[in-house]
Amino acid sequence: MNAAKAFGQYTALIQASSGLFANDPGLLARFRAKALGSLPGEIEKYKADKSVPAECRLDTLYAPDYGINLQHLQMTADVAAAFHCGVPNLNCYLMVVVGDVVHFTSSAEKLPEGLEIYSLRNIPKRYMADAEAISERSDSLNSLLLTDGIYIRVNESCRIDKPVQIVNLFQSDTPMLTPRRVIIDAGAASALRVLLCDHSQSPATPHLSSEVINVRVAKDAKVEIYDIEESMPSTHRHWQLNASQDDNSELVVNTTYLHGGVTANEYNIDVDGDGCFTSLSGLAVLTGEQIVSNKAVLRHKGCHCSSRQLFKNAVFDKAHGSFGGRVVVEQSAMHTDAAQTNRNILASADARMDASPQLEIYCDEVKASHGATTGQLDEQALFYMQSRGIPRDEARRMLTQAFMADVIDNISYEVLRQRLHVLVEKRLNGDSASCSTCATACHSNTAGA
Amino acid sequence: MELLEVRNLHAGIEGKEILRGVDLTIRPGEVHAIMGPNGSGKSTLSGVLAGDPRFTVTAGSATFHGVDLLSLSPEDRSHEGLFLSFQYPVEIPGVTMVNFMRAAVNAKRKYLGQEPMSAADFLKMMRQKRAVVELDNKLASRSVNEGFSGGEKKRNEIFQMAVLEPRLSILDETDSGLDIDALRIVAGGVNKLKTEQNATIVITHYQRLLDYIKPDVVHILYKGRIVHTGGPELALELEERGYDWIKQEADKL
Repeated sequence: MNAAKAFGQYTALIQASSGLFANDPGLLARFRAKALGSLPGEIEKYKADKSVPAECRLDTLYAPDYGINLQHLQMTADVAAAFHCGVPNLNCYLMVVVGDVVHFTSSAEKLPEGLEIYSLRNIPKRYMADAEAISERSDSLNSLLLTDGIYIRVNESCRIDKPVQIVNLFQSDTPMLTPRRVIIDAGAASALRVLLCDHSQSPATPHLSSEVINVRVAKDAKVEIYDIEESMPSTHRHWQLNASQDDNSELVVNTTYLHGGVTANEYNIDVDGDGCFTSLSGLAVLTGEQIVSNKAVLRHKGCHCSSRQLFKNAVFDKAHGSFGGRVVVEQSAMHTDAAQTNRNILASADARMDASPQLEIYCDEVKASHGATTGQLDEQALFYMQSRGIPRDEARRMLTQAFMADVIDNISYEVLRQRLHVLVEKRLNGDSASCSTCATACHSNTAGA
Repeated sequence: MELLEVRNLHAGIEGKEILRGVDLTIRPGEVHAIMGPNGSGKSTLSGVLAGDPRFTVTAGSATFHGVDLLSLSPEDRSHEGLFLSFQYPVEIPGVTMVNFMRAAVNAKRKYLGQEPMSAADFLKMMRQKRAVVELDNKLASRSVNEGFSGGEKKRNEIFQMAVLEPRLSILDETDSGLDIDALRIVAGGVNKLKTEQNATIVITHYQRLLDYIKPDVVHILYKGRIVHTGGPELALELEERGYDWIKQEADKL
């Protein structure tokens, strides 16, 4: 089926079921109205996008005939209820999104002063304008199909120690497209950590997860977002992060791809304010025929800001990785200090990596660097390890893990950092991504649910 | 029985022949020195014995306590008791010394059908072995050889040798880049590890190292062949007269 037809099919479906939306919450209706207007133009852009592998282009990702839960049926509430997070010491305010239906667990019902979390279906009227403003630049298809989502608000000067964790689960016998949305609104001088985890429990069912994360980091605030994808080859994902930063704010974004099918990650970060810091990093371990694209646009507008980008891929078998990073330093962005690094290991003759680091500088007072390297593991190091008795396969695993280590070491959240080292080690050891054996063991209790 | 028996070994790199028929016999308890001018094939010989994939063996054999050495992978050569101290130890950023040694020790134990070592026993052993070459404790938590000084790298090699307890150690120019104090510590470590059952091949340019590690036999390698074999006095003679007389003698043949 060609892509334009596929989109047509989704919009037709929306229009045909418009009766269902009679009682729809205001915010989602507004998203939908805006999306219907912008969608045709956006589809043309998708089709022309040469910057990502063809499999990651949105017209390809959305083309299959997925079902959509437009009626917002909550058939799987038991999965969320039985959900148990076994990640050690990760004491979180936990939300579970089954398909596209948001569930609050008991830990997210009693929130500390200054932290508020709502489903987009019942977000208070007073916050709607903020939520809509922060969502300005969202993928139109996601906006069109959205039936739920999460709004997280941290009030001014509130620094929340305990992270908010959002676990996306997929469980269905029929192919599904699940639109998901998280809107993060961090007030002035606030601090927040958000941990996002994607899992799948239906290995045989094709699934497209469409996720949009919209973030506003107000003056002097600090927001950290960590994303871990450990799903199935049958799960494809479009993940889009749109963020803006005000004066003296700090934004940390880190994505870890452990398992999945085809993943297209997009990062659009506008550093509007002065004196900001931005850290954007990611790692991917790719085996089989997995495909991951990380495409980032970081736009410096304010003065005296610094940004650090670090993306690493270890590509095995017939897998395919892609990195497209663009740093734009606008004329107003005096004294910017921007660094972008992309390093990749191709571990087999059939593995493939595309790298396109780009700097666009419109300002004279700038320090900016970028670099991309793609190569093989160091043969001399391998021989040295073997000569000490370490079998070649284990030496390769240790070197690959070492290659990835600095992406994880950058994470200041210590518990997560240690956990990620273990997860990556297990992944390189060839541990299965199936939920029952998944190292996060986050829903081991759902086996009987 | 001989510990190592090398017969008519031919080997090269990228089609260029470097070893042209090396014969060498080493028995337990012996220390052999292999000397020779630059480019004579000393490092190639050590690389070939350890299984460096850059070299190709074109003829000959090497039997290591009855095992066909050349048929084994580098890791199995290590498990069988061969150790190569590298002339240029490789830096491995991101792999800590502790993880590196634990992987090495447990791989050998697995090869020998033993259970992995407990963490407590392992750390205790590391402590004991570090003392052999006065290796600083703080190096253990650092990445393998990364940021180590020249002396620390060579001490680290002998430390690894102490941990792995090889039957045959090949020290490839272990003295290069060492000041006199480091040389004394490294040589002292090698001597402490010497037993009646194991043997050592010392590859060096200079007599100096042989003042500390006393060889039983001295060989001279030239143009890929051992052209002269003698006792410790041969090294002294070389120090005095240089290699020219050896070259003339060998080129006449």
